[in-house]
Amino acid sequence: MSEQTPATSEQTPATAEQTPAAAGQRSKVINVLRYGAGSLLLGGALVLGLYGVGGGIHTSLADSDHKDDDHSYRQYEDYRNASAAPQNALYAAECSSCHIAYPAKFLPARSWQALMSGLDDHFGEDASLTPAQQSGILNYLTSAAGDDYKFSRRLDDQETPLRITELPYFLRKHDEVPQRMVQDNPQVRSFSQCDSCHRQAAKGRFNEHEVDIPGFGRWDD
Amino acid sequence: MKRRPIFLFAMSLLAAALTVNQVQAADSAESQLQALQQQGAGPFDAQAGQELWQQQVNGRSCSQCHNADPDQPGTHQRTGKAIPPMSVRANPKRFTDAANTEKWFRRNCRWTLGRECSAQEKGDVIRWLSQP
Repeated sequence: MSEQTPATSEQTPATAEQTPAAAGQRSKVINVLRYGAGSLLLGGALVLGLYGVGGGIHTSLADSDHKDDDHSYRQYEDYRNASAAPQNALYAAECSSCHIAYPAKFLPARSWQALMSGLDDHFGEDASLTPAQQSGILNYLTSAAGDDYKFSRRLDDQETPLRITELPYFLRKHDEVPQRMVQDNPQVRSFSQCDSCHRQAAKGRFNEHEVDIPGFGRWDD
Repeated sequence: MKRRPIFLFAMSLLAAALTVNQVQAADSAESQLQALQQQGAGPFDAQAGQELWQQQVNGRSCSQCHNADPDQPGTHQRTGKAIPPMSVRANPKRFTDAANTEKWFRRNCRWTLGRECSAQEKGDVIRWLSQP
C-alpha cells in the first residue's frame, strides 16, 4: 500500500502536464454533447407543446373522467366532450372520409353492430369495407359505445336506433334550431354534418358556445 | 461547429418525415395499371375510360359527383361535400394508394353502375385520369 503511493503521486505531474490538451478535447466533446442534448430537449419540448396546442393533451386528460356521472361535472363539459373524440386510427381514417367519425359513445353497442353489418347500403350509400377493416372498426365502436351515456337514455332496450340525429336526446338539444338554418341551408343540408356548425366536432367538442352556423353565425340561445 | 448538432437534429427530423411520405406514396397509376394487366386486362384505352365516366345508368354516373372535367373538383350529390379533382395532373395524390383505389372502385361502381367494374374498365378509367 505504502509503496504504491509514491507511484501514483509520480504520475500526477504527468497527467497535469497533459491537462491543457486533454481538457481542450474534453470540453469540445462536452460542448457537442451539450448541444446534442439541448437540441433534443428543445425539439421534444416543441413537439409536446404543439401536440398540446392541437388538443391532444385535452383529450388524454379528459379520458380520466370518462366514467364520471354526467351531472356532477358540468364545469368540465369541454374536457368531457373532448374525450368523445375517436381514439381509433382505423375508425377515424375510414369513416371520416365522408363525415366526421362520430363519437362512439353517441350510440349504444347494438346500434353500431347494426350499422356495421349494413355498410353496403349505408343510408343509401355504399360504404363497404374489407372484412378485416369492418371487424376492427366494429370492435372499437362496441368497446367504446355509450350504452349508459346520456344520448342513449330513455331508449327502450328493444330499440336499435341507426341515426344519432333521431335519438330523443339529440332531438331535444336541437329542437330550437329552425329548418332554414340546417335542412334548407345549402351549406349544411343535414344535422348529420355536425362539423358544419360545431366546428370542433372532429375533435369531439360539441359545446353550444362554439356553434357557428354557416350563413347565420354564432348561435345565441 | 457549435450549430452542427441542431442542424443534424433538424435534418434527421426532415429525413424521418420524408421516409414516412415515401412509404405512404409507394403506389402510382402506372403500378396499378401493371397490376390490372397481370389480372389479364389491357391494353387500356383512355377514350373508353372517359366514356364509362359519362355513362348514365338509372340516372347515375361517375361525372355527377366527380365532375365531367376531372381536373375540376366535384360535389357529392346528396351531402354537397366537395370532392377533390380525380385527375393526377390536377391532384397528384390520386392513385398513390392501391388499396384506397380498389375500395372506391368497389363502392362507387356498385353504387353508380349497380355492379363491380371489371379490371379492363378500371384500367381504362385510370389511364384516362392519369393522362399527362
